[in-house]
Amino acid sequence: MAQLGIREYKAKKMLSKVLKDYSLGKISYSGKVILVKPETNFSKLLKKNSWLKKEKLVVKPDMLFGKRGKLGLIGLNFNYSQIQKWIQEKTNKKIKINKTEGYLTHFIIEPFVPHNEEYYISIQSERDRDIIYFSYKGGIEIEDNWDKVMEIPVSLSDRIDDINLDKYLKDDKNRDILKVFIKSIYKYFIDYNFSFLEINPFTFIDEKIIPLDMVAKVDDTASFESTKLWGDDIEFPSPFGRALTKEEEYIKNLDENTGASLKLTLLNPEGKVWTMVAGGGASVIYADTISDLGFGSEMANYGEYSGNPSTDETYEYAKTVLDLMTRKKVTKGKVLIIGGGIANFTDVAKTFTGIIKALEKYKDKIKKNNIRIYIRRGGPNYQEGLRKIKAVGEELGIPLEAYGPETHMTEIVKLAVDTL
Amino acid sequence: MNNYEIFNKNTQSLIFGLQVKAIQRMLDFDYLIQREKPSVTAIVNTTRDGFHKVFFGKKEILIPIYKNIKEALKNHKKIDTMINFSSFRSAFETTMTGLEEKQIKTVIVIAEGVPERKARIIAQKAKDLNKWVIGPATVGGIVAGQFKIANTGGTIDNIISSKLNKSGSVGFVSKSGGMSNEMYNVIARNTDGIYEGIAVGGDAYPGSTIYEHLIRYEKNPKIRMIVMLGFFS
Repeated sequence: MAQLGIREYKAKKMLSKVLKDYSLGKISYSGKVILVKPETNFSKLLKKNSWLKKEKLVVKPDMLFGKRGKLGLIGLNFNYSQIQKWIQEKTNKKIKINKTEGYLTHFIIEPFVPHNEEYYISIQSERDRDIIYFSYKGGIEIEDNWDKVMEIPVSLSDRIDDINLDKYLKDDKNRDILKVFIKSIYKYFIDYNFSFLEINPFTFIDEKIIPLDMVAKVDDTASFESTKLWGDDIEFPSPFGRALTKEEEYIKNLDENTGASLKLTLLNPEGKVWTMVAGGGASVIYADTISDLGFGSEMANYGEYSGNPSTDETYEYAKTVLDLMTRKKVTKGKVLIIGGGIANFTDVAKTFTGIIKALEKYKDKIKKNNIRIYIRRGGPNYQEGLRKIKAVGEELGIPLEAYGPETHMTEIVKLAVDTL
Repeated sequence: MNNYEIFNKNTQSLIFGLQVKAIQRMLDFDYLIQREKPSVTAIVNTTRDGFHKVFFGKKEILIPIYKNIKEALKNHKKIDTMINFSSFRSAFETTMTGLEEKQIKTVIVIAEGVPERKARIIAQKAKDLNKWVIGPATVGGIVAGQFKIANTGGTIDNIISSKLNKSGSVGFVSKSGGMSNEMYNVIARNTDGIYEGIAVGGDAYPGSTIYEHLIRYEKNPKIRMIVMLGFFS
């Protein structure tokens, strides 16, 4: 479950479909916005969207990071061939955003709209209410002008149509249209299960609203009820510069196709301390302990397996970790910490069967790479699980120690790193 | 029962969903602590009513199964707790139905994946009705020696070695169910054991927060030490 960022392109496209209905016909947004991906063919794109040749355009990366103006990553007032040239330039070189390096792959193209007013609106949720933030002074300096932002609270039981917005708005020609727009954006926020939505800035040209910049996150647990609204093409891109390795991708796929949870992130593939921990809570504690004992920089991976995964799923997970660990031999070898608390209902013997299968498959590599294994676990059938895995360790001749609940959960971290 | 207590040795519960293992584990606990009557009084199974066979000690007993919450509660007026095993798709509706029933004071929502807005509405409903919701995305919790929620605490040998069958002095609360069970063990090795432990679940908007349980523990004279694993957010 998570609040996941979606592309600006998608947030704008979805809005363009419903704004007229939400505003009872009073406001519309053309949704003239294009997403350029690595596989995009520029001539086909032009054939489908002839307006690209007729209007001046804006281009910027659409990859879930902001401050693109300040980073020099906005192309303004271009024609279509200038757009193509700009995109080609930008995709070819590695760039650094904050401290992260990566390549630009996705871009958004829209009409260039000269305008005067820049308004700000965002909506965020708190436990018992949502807050609509609105300002007449939107734009890139919004943070410096935050004192001019008005907060409009909407409790869970309020109906937005019943809220009087007059006290928040100047009595000028735009008041009525702003009232309608704020209420429409709120309905969009609720119906589409956004957890965060920001349009900074937006402007009006006649009765048309132009969102110039949009940031949106949806509640991905709502996908079973919102997927019809979101559409099949909704993407939840990884943050910039964080393309998944093929092993992380593999585990992610396993995770998506099971009710269990399987998570793996590579931190330092050359690291000497590897973990396979049961449960999100425990995995954080093990990572903390490894760092506390001074081996933070040697921590190779972070992740967890939980929710009673099958023997096969555990096997695939363990295999992936063992494969990554045994690619390069180092002096003093490496340690694998197979840890966890006392499970409530996961069958420990069952999950250990999967781990045992992986140890059998990798026994030669484990020995060759001087890998030492430390296990600690409790829960249903833990005695059988520990007994079996100890027996396998002896049988295969690999250095393996296994402990139950009588040993403190993170004791094995000390035992492991003391050998490095 | 005082206002700082949610469950005790007389709590009777309705299990929504025919969760065979969880139900048997609750009855094993009930038998171990010598409860007069099992803590599971009725079950809701939307597809089939009838009876469910379980062991209460060595004796086989039957627990009635109903097709909906209203019917189950109509026939068992002493049930005040609902342990809801609905999937994330229907957990919102069934939890709200449970909360709206006058005799239900507490709903535990096991499902992981309840949409955030729905979870907030549940929390608000509980607050408006002065009732308790634990979860979503939780394994539950336990009042040592009195009442065990579903799969909390695992098997009987863990219940005994973590002293969960006897009343201790420590009040424990955390987000994580897995780490709660580990902590019951650590606490049992270093004190007279827990009085009560609650896992509020991993969601952004739990039905009851860590803070709310801490306040409740503070009022309970039987709790002499409070332990929290996690962080305030």
